Amino acid sequence: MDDAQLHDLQERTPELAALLAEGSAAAAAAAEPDALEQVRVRFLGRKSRLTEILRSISSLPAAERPVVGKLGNVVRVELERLVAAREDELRGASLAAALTAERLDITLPGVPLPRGHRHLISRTIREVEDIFLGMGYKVAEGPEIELDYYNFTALNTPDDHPARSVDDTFFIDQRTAIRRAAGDAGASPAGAAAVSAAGSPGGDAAASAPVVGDLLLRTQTSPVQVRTMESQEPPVYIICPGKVYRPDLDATHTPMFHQVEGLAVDRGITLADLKGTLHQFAREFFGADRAIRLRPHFFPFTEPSVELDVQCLLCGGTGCRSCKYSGWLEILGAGMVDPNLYGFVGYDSGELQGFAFGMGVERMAMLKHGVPDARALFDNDLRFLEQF
Amino acid sequence: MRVPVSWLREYVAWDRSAEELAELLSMSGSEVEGIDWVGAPHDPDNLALFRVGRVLTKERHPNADKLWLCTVDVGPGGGGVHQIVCGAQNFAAGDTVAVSLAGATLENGLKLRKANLRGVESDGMMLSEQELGFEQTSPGIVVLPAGWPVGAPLTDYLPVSEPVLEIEVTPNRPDCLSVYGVAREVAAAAKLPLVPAPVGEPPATGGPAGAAIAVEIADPDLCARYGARVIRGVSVGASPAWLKARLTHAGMRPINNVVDVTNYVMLALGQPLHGFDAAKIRGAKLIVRRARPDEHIVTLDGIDRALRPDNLVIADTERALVIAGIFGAIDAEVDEHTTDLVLEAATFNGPNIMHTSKDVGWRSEASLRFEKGLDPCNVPLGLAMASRLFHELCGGAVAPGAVDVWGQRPPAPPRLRYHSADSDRLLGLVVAPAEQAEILRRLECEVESGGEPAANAGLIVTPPPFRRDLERSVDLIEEVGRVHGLQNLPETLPLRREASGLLTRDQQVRRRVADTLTGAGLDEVVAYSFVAADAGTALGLAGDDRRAAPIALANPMSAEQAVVRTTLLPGLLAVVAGNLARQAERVAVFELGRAYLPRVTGDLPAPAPGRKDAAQPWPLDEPEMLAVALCGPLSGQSWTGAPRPTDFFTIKGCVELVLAGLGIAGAVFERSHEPYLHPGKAADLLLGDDRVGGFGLLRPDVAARYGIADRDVCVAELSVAPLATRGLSIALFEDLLTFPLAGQDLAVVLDADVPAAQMLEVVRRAGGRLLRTATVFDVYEGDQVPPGKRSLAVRLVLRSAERTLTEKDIGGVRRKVLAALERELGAALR
Repeated sequence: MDDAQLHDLQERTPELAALLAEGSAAAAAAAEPDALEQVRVRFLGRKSRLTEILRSISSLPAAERPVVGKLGNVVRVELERLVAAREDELRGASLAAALTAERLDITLPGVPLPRGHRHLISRTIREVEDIFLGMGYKVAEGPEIELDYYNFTALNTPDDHPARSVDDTFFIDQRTAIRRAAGDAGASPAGAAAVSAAGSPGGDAAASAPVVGDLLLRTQTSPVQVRTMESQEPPVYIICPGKVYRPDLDATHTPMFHQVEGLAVDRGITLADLKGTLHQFAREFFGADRAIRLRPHFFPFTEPSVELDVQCLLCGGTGCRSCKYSGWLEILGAGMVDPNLYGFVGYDSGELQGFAFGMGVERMAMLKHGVPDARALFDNDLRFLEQF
Repeated sequence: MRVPVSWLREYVAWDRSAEELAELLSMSGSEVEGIDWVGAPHDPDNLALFRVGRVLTKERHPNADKLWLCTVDVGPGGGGVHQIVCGAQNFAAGDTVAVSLAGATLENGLKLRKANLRGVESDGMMLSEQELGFEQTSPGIVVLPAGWPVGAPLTDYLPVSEPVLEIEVTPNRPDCLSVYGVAREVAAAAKLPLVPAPVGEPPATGGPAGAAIAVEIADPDLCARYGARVIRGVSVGASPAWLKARLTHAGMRPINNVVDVTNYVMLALGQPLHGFDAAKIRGAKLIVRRARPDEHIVTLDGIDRALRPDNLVIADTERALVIAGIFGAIDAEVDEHTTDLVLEAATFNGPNIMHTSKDVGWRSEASLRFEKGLDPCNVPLGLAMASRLFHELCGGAVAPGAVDVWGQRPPAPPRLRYHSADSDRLLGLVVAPAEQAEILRRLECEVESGGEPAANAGLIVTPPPFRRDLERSVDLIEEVGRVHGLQNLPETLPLRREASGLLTRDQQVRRRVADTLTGAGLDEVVAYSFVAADAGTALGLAGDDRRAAPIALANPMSAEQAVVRTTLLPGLLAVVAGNLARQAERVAVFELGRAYLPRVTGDLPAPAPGRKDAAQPWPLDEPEMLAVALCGPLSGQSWTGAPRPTDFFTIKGCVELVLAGLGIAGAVFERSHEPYLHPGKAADLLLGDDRVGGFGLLRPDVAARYGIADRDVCVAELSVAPLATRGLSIALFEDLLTFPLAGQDLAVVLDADVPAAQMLEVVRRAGGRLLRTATVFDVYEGDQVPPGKRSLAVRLVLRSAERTLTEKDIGGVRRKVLAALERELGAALR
């Protein structure tokens, strides 16, 4: 109702104006739905004064009839609107009150939906894999119980190299590696060749001593590179994640650990390509703002050989105990594939160049997550596992 | 290798900081693992408080018998004459001494203050070698040479504060196991001149060395060169402070001047030396030979060691005196009565020394160098330098000449044809040919023209004899790369022709399995591949089961890790037991990893180099396995209600979830006969003809043997291969959208021992084309059904691809299903 209508109403039908004022005040004053209903009955019901006025229009003088009729309806519509509005208000308020009364302690924990944790090692391997998958590498796998040939010989390792000794490599007792079918007499030893190769002529004393031959637990995942090159023509772009084994146990060494090695062999691959690849990997794994550097090193199966350092994650390069005050942490070894290796797998070393790299997964995970002791990775204590 | 920087600076004029030196070396291939600052704190203000002083007066302390009251002049810069109280007994008035003034902080962190010692003021301190950090203990103070000027900063003469580079020398560079060798690297990388080797030749006196000692190399394959010199009239005593400082800083302990000189020369040049007491050599002859059968030697540590025939010894005409390159015998050692020395420098066979060193269980600074293979050219240099020092420091008279005998000479260094373009091609960086040649020259290679035309003939490069690692032109490229600097290389990426980064189906399946199970609340574990030999015994596997006979290690680290696992279960159960012992309420874990099984038949596959064969055989079987263990509910305790306890159906749910995650249908479950599983609460999973594995409740007696008492443990172990061949196949669209599905529930009562799978099979056959799925959703046994019976409620989901099903269609299927159940299984609608 606008001001003109109200003015008109007061001028011409003061009673209607009074009814409107009274009804609107009563509606506003109604504090609950019942009271509002009474207001509605009183002002809009069949027995209300307004209804009475509207019914008795016919008894009015002809000139007044249209005025009272029109204004009476205006008042009725206005009162109905006011009552409905008040009704909404009251309903809203009572809903609000009801909802307020249903308050929960929202600080209580939620329903425990199951949440498992992938192991830090496999998470880290997958992270590394994904970076290299994105660069176009495939993931290659191979046996963990490996032949000496693949683990050492084909990787340019001299026969008298210390890595081949029992101090640095786990060897398999070959008697236990091959078993004849159940029909054969007794628990049979391994291939006779292995026995004689190790110079064990038999007899009781020899029978109880382990027989060392060609089988060992791989000390690196590099044999997978050799196997891959043996089984396919170049180009080769692979990474080789997996378990490897060396007899060592202290805070940074466990007898079983994990490596991810990589190999790219193609025409025209350069040391600069290796640098670009490793830097891209390190930026993605450790963060783009972390300084990295490539440093010359030595490995028997690469030439030239390098190591990759990343700015210390703890001190940010200013020097601390964990980086021996150098500001740098060594994270992986790499280099251009030694041309000798191509000879072992039947590749043309004149045509091809390539690079290889290898990193210790435990070290990467420990550096990134601040784990102080590698042994904790294999204790499988849930209090450890569920942190990651 | 520990290299004191002040020592290095004697050979190469490095004038920048130790940190920059470390950076230079690291970036040119000699990794500096750290800089160890030894001695007093290296702040210049502190070092200014260390001075050369002269004792002016020395009197008894008025109040103490053993103390001296001295006046010491430390020059005008040090504040003139100081009164100092000193407890040492080895000095006299007029001696030159090392003084630290009040305010100085010493090597051990002690800060010096003016002190009142028994009523007398003491302003400063006269220092001992110990207080300077030059040796571990010293009986008195340092008495310095008289010629050192009073008041001079002590740091001009002695390494009061010293940065020591800790260098990781790679095994191909034994030449860098010496300060001079490292200096050579610095000179090459920094383009600085290198001082000639610090050899010097002492004046010779007396009868010639050759008349005093003879040398025979009886086993020339193990000794390339053996040189000896004779020094007479040495007096064994303490070494001067500078020598003690250098040895200590380089990581060796000063012993006496004779031993110290041999060690010093070894550290300086990399050539180990051995001094014999000439009087103890019988027959005036040294023989380099393999040990005799049953030969013994009592080494310096007093241990009687049996020698093996391939151990090399240095003997006289009667007995072995030294295990060559490794350990001297008590019989021939220099002692305080020694006057005449026979000094040995030799080149032994590296691998032989390494083996002997292992046999003997002793690795010394000398053997460590011999192992790597040394350059015989160093033999006369080492002898000369040591002789000079014996003359200068031990008062020895050096006999003229040397005995110099060759065994098997190493081959001459190769003459390598070198093309600078090959380097550019491998490095991915063009380095000017002249610069490449210059780098090789700085590394002491001989570089000649390879002929005409130069562009094709390249260069002929002959490496120096101490660089046995330079065998091929690619080795020279590495030298050019590292000296030129890897920081100058651009960053590029390979072409990656035909490369696509994709996981194999097998790898994707393993990822999916791990994600599915972690999504369901299980924690992944990684256990050691090796276990105790009897780790699987408690599983009760039959003798003909391949898993019962694990592959053993020939050289295990411990009995706990003697064999490789044939099943993942023992490892997983150890994880469960360990976590329960640590008060975990629930353990829900899985492991994806390999088991290792012996070959049942056949021989090991031989390597076939060069054969391009996609199916390279593996030596043994290494099946990928998935093992799961559950103890306690899958979800944690909550105030919202008790979680469902774990039972057979939880582990079956895990197995089914894995299958569902991989999109594998058609699983068949049969009662399992795995000996470690509860016979009534275990099943095997079959996919087609593959028995994928067993799962269920672990037998309580088996659980107890793995240290899990009074707790239900459910386990599963599945082979991954049959999952990988079937999993993640391409899903094809089925039209479930056009026409609605119709559901229909029915509950039937039938004999309690009729398996649900059997009932569903009847339902499916009877349901025909319109029946899409049939699932048991309720099981009831109790008062509402007769004894021996149970009620199974089945939800049928019906559909047609052609039309919306009518009540008549649905009723028809229902009737057929009920009729078949009644007919075949005697079931009644409930």
